[in-house]
Amino acid sequence: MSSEHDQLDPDDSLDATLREFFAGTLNGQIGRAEREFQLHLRKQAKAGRRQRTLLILAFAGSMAAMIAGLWASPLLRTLVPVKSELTLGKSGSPQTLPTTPVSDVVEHVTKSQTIDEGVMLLEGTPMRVYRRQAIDQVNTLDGNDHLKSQETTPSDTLVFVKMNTY
Amino acid sequence: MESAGRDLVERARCKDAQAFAALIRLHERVALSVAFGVMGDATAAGDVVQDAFVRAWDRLNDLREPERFATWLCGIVRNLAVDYLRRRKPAESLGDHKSPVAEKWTHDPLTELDQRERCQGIHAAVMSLDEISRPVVVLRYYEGMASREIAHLLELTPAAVDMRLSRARKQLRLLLDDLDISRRKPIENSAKD
Repeated sequence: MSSEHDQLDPDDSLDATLREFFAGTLNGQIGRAEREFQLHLRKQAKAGRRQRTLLILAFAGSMAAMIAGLWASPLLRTLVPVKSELTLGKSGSPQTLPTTPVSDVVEHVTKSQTIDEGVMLLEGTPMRVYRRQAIDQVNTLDGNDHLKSQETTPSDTLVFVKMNTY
Repeated sequence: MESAGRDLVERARCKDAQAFAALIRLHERVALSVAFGVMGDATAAGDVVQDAFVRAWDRLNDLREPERFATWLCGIVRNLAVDYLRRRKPAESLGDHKSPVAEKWTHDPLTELDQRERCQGIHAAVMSLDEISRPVVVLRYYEGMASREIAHLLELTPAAVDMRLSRARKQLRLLLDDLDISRRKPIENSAKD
């Protein structure tokens, strides 16, 4: 399809004037769109990185909360109030527990004795030796399951005390 | 060229930034012509065109026919240009631009003034055209497009493009002939002095 204006007379001053005017006016804008597009791509990439960071932080936060929850759950269980009366002890002597909330550690007994072992020389220095023997006994009770347990920890410690010589 | 353009569009749809950059280089002048035709302000046209390309990149999957990318882009440009004009403060004038033609030519103040007046005259003459004829004229004289291509881009018939071009040329010739006469006077006077 040919049209009247497809071939313009190159000598036409009007055409030349218009071409010159439009080129002079618009050529300065060429290239802006591509620069803006590259900037847009960089912004998108930056936003993507930020979003990924936020996702990772959110994931890490939720994992931390989950681990904290798991860690705290035995403590939380012990805060459940015990409504029934319970007995403790091996001897069968009944002990009444209050109905207020109790911890799972219901009794902690430490028995100890200290013996003077006398004086000894350690690398030429006179030292007094003390022996400390102790038994730690912890009774625990699971409020939910009504399970009793007892943990006994013996310990034997030697303490050296330097003696001043005159 | 059309198949190459189609290939670029297909690649750009797969988020190939280089292909889209090539599309920008291919269609930037056309987009500028349409934007300037609507707005009559080169800087604002540049703003609108860069926004239009970013929008096109983001919404490229909405384009159903890749071979109609240029027409689709021109639609985006036109809509953005109209929105821009609507938002623009009334105090800002469309013809308030400084043409680079006037800047690059000379340091002679008289000639510079003459060129500036000439540019303003041509700009005013172009802006006196109706809003459909303006993009037609810019596409013809800036991009050198044939009537059929202009018709395809602006969704007109080639006959309508020819008719609008013919009328626009008559109107511009009338206005610019007056401008040419007035432009020569100060130069002749200064030569006598």
